Amino acid sequence: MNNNYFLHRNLLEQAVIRLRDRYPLLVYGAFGSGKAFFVDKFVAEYSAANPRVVWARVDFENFSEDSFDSLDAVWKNLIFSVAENVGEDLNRFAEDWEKRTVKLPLQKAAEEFLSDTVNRFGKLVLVLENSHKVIRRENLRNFFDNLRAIAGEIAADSLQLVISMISDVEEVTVLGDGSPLFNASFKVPLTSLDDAQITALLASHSFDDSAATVGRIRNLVGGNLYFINVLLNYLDEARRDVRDALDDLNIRRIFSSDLETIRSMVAKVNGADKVLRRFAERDKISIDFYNLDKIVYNDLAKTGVLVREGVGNDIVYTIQGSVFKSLIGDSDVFLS
Amino acid sequence: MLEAENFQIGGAVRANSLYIERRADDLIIEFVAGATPVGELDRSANGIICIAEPHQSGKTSLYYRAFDKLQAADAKYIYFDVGKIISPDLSEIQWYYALAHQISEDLNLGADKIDMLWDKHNESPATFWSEFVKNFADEKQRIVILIDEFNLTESLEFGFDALFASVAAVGNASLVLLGVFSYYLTGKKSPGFSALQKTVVPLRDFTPKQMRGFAPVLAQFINTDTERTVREIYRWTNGHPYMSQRVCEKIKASFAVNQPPSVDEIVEDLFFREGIYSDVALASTNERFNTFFADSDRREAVLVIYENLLKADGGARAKNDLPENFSTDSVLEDLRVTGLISIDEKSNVRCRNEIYRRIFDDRWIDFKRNAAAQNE
Repeated sequence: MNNNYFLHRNLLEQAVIRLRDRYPLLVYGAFGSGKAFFVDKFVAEYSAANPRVVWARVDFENFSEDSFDSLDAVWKNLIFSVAENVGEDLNRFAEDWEKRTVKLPLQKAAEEFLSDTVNRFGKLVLVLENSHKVIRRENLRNFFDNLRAIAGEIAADSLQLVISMISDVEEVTVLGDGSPLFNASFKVPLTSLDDAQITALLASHSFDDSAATVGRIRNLVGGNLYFINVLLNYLDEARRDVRDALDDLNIRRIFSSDLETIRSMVAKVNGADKVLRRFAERDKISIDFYNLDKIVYNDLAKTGVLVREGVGNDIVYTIQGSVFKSLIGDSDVFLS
Repeated sequence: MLEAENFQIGGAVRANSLYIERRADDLIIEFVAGATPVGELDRSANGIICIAEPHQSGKTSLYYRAFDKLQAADAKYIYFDVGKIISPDLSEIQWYYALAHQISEDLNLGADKIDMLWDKHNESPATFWSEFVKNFADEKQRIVILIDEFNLTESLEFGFDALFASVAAVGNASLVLLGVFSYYLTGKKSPGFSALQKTVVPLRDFTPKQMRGFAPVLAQFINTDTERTVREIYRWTNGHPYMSQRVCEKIKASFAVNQPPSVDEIVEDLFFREGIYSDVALASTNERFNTFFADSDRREAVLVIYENLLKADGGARAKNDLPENFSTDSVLEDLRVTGLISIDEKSNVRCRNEIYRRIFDDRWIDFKRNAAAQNE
């Protein structure tokens, strides 16, 4: 994939400064907004300027389902992942871990391990990706309380945190209420791409970047960075010209696995059917700030199907594009 | 002492940021020294006090400052953050062992000491703890244990009777327990918790006189009449510490541009653009309200009280003039800890400030009523 990080260059530069100034980072956006790409680029950029930093990247998406059964299970899996990241002998580590956790609560043992690791390496950045998998589980509600307190106990510039998750501004504000960690963090909101950013992406692939092409891509997949990248990479690989190809793409084949992912996310949103049906006849819906269905609209926006725009009391939700419209009922808007 | 150069939004106020002292700063020190004036705090509390305030009220900054002053006064200060160990499965012995571990580290008692007492837990967690306290407490040395985020213990099955009893058992009031809450706990049967939550150090919003402390710091960045600017800020925030700091920080950041926005424009931008979600303090109030007043009867009674406050001449009502239903001290305290109202020294109750008044308005009240009806 081409390096498209000029799209978020300002955010990236600010994030580097803020982590250096000891703020935790919180990268958030809808599914497909480019969080993982941003984190990759951030790690590369920060490492280049701070080569002594040791990174421990833990992706909750890679945890098995039973890892989320209890707080202890998450902490144990997290600590073992960090141990693996920093090159511990896992057999010996497992023995030490058993001894450490006989009397102390497991989180206290985690603090001791992280503290030892920091003492060994000087500076550790813990990157927790797909953190929404933890945040939304009631049985794990104390995880970020633990993490905040542990990071606070270890010297602030020795253990630092980068957290990424599927979320939106409302959820992030509420999380800031429940947790000083989220409240104090530097927020990196990744939003749907605008026309200028889509134009820049097309140009980076040396494709036609006229307003007409931008409009056609937007009609197809909206401003979803991930879907636009999938599309452009497919065209790159097929050596097709974007102007011709957009007329006869087999959209179903290109996006089938991604749409299945979204379909399963949408299925978990209570009341999604009712709200999505309203988009069968139109692409935009305005709702009042106090509309009781707002939470359903917001949850659908997190899946990437809808985009939320507007401020205060004037909120407009737009369906991202015809590809996403295929999720509504039995309508089939795919091209053949 | 460093001259303040910055404002600070959230978190403990740093050394070079503006910190405005309130009565609560002195009260904590006086309480620890056993010199609290009669009437200001319950002297019968016997070594147990608490701070219970909504988010963004300055709790962390307050106890950080208290920490510095107590160190200077030769008191030992132990900071125990419940967040470090909290888990739905936390057992009573794990709680006491972790607390003992923290004290042991902070007082340099050596790890052997708790390990020697470990067998006592077979009798009971309380026995382990009381034996440990006997080993570290010293009548000649005043020790303050600050338990932060105490409200996180809400879901735990066990009470904290052994902890409270140990404070009472140590002679000469040389052991002080300071609990910090961002909301009150309900359903705790422990009498110690009741005592803890009764002896509240009131952390009120800034008075107009205290607000003047912002003016000299603002004067470093802007060249207009800073006293007047501070009065304009106060008109909106009514001395809310975090909101006042936030507005000042924005004024500082905006002043470099050609036509800096007015205080009204800044407030509009900071607190109204995304409605309730414009600001964490506002979002917090909404969330807390939902949690504390989930019961529909209780919610309706509180909404009647709040509606009455919104209509009050001059913005405030005496506590005794509020509608009778549920206007008990505990309900008003719960409402205060959501951040929605403030209660002054003379027991006058008012909507927290003009920002809250505009966000939590008649439409919000209707929304809460409709949401409650829909859930029934």
